[in-house]
Amino acid sequence: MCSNNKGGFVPPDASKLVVRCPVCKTFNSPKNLKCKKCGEAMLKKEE
Amino acid sequence: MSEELNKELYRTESRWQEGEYTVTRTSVWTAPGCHNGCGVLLYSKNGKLEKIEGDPNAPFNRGRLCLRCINMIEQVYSSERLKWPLKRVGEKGENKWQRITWDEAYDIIENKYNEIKDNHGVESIVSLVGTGRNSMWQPAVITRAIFGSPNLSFGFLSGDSCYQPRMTANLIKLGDCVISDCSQAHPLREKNPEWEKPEVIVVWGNNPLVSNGDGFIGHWLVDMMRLGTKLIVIDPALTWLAAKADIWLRVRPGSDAALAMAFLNVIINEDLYDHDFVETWTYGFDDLVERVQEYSPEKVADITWIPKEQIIEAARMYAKAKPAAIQWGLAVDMQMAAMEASSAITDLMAMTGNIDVPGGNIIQRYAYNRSKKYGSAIEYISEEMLLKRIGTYESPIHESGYTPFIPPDKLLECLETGRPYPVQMLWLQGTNPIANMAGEAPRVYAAMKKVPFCVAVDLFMTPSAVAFADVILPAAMSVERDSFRAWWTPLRSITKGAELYEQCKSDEEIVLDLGKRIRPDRFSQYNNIKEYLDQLLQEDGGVDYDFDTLVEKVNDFWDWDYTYKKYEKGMLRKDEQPGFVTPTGLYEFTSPLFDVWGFDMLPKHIEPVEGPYTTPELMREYPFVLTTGNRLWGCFHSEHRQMPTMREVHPDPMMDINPKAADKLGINEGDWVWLENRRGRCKQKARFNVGLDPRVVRGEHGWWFPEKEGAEPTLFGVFDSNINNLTTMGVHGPTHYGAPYKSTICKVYKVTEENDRVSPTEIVTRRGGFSYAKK
Repeated sequence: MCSNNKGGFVPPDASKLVVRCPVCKTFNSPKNLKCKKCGEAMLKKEE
Repeated sequence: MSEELNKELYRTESRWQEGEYTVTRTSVWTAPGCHNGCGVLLYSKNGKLEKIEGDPNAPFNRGRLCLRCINMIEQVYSSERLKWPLKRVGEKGENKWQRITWDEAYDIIENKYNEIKDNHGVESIVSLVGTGRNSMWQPAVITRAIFGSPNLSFGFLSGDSCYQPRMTANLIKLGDCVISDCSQAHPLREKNPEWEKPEVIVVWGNNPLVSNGDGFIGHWLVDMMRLGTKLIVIDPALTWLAAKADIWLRVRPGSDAALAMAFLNVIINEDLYDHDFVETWTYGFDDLVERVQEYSPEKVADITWIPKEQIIEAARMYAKAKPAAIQWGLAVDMQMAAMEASSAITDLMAMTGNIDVPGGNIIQRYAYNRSKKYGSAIEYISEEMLLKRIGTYESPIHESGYTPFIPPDKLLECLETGRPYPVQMLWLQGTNPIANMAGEAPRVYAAMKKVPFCVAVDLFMTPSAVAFADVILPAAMSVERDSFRAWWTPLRSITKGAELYEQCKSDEEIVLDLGKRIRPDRFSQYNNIKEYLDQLLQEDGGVDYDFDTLVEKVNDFWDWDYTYKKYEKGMLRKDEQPGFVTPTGLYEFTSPLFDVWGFDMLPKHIEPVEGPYTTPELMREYPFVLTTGNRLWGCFHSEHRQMPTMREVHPDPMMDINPKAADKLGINEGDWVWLENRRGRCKQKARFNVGLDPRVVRGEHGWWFPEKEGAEPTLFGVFDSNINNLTTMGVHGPTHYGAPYKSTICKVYKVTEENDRVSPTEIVTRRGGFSYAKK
């Protein structure tokens, strides 16, 4: 989230909004269980 | 411009005595007035402001002020100002009020808050804020840190179409925001040895000499012109700057994305782009190359009504100039393709290697990361409460947090339908939505009437306060407050130069008063405003001094802001690696984020929903493209209509029409005319404008008439000349950003005694709105 004590113009952390397929490097939504392009299972990012 | 000043004449302390005057050297950041924080000298005697001058030593404006500041005294001591808290005693809209104390006002608000919290949930409290001024972060804190509601909205500004599309496009494509570099970020200004003058500046969709929008002061353009900078001006109207430009592109309103794509087409196909920057620092170039082939200058000439030769000439001129800057404005936001136009224009800056270079478009953050403008206070909201944000989950960019507000179009739907839950309370601070920013204003009026309880914080009685408020709190003006400004650089003090008028309180005081009552756990530690300001200045790695020290400094530049090529130096990313704050670490011509959200990864043109190419059949009845929102010297949005001097400068609402088009309609200059479309009509006075395309007319916004009766059905005549009787809500771009404020359609005809028997305001307030709009 943008926040007012860390600079309102600094965007949210994009690494939480988009993840790369470990095989074909396609960008996917973190909600995807499989890569939309190659079907590889997406690794769940550790919190 | 940059000549040495006589320090004996122009002093650099923050306060001194000059005869019987106490002089305070500081800055003002409204309300009332515009976005900027110009340096001023406030001359007061016995606590009363008697004179205001521009501060020649202020690096921001260097002594220059516009009418809105020069006329400040008339505003501060206007008998029309709100003097003390008021409680409604008649029905809403009757304009009957009882004077109450601040404690009584806070009691009413606190009791209502408790009742809503217990019976409906705090999420049913919604705050509306106005444009980017020092009355914007306070309602965010009140809403989220004090009330605990996640629902903060940018008034009813359809498509969040004021700077949000441009900023969001910047943030998505490069992770930061850029503005034209006129060396304003450096204390030495043009003498900074690293800085280079822009060879060319493209003034795209704004008239900054009048508006001074988004932290950019129009005088900087004049300074650059004096140094030899050439201008390309993109504007439907012939402004002063357009008249001085090497190239003026008279664009059809709402077609800026197509124009930007044609620029990219020329620059790519003629190999005029910056190979080094593109190859080293960007992602997705090949996809963009393919997309821009759809936008040949020939095709775009038809879309934009600009001759293809002019498009080619302008694109070449911009691309060949080293360095070159783009100074963009609100017109880019106020169209369906706002995000797309913003993305394409940002691509132009990157393609030509002009991002964060001297004289290009420099990356800026809030000075010392002190976020005092679009501060969202979102960190006070729990994950569970975030899920209750109205409409946010239908807009992935809002959901992701790129904009601190809930989507205004979805808020309107919520008020109209009661879904996902009925709104119980509105908090209006520094906003007068039905007179100014609300698209389809009569519809917004009807929706806001449904909300049971409303508080308005303002300087003057407004139509919105009369129509909706139960309690009104009188706010202090900038010259009566202690605060600071960090929107871009430098960090500036806002120091009290006059005693508070009557019983007015500053927005900061209202935050503390309410905070101590409702959330003492968060606010009881502050004994006074200065302690609170100290905290805001110092928290999370801010400055290492307190507010009193900033008062002494007056201005404090941040070296981060004036460092160039920050992406090469690892100054942007948290990991301190070179690159940009994006998923790829590069500037993104194609955006993975847009793709993941289901949007087109590349920019494109989107036709306005109404217009010559989308609704040719409607154009037979409504033959003009209507553009709105041009700025006035004497008034800022809906402000200043009470000021005799401002009304002397600009007494009536004016619409611009080409004399050839007027002649065909039998309209003479100065005639009152109706502007009308399927949603409603309003009346303004005709003004001939030979520079305007005969197929385009322009109407002013923000008009209401404080001299008229305040009670409904007259309601200060707020709908009589209201251009937003004709604009839309819910017609935003695919990303939920941008709305066609500047590109709808209308017809124009003379006002006669026969067709003017019932005023538009009475039609809206007493007759349920324009009947043809309901069909």
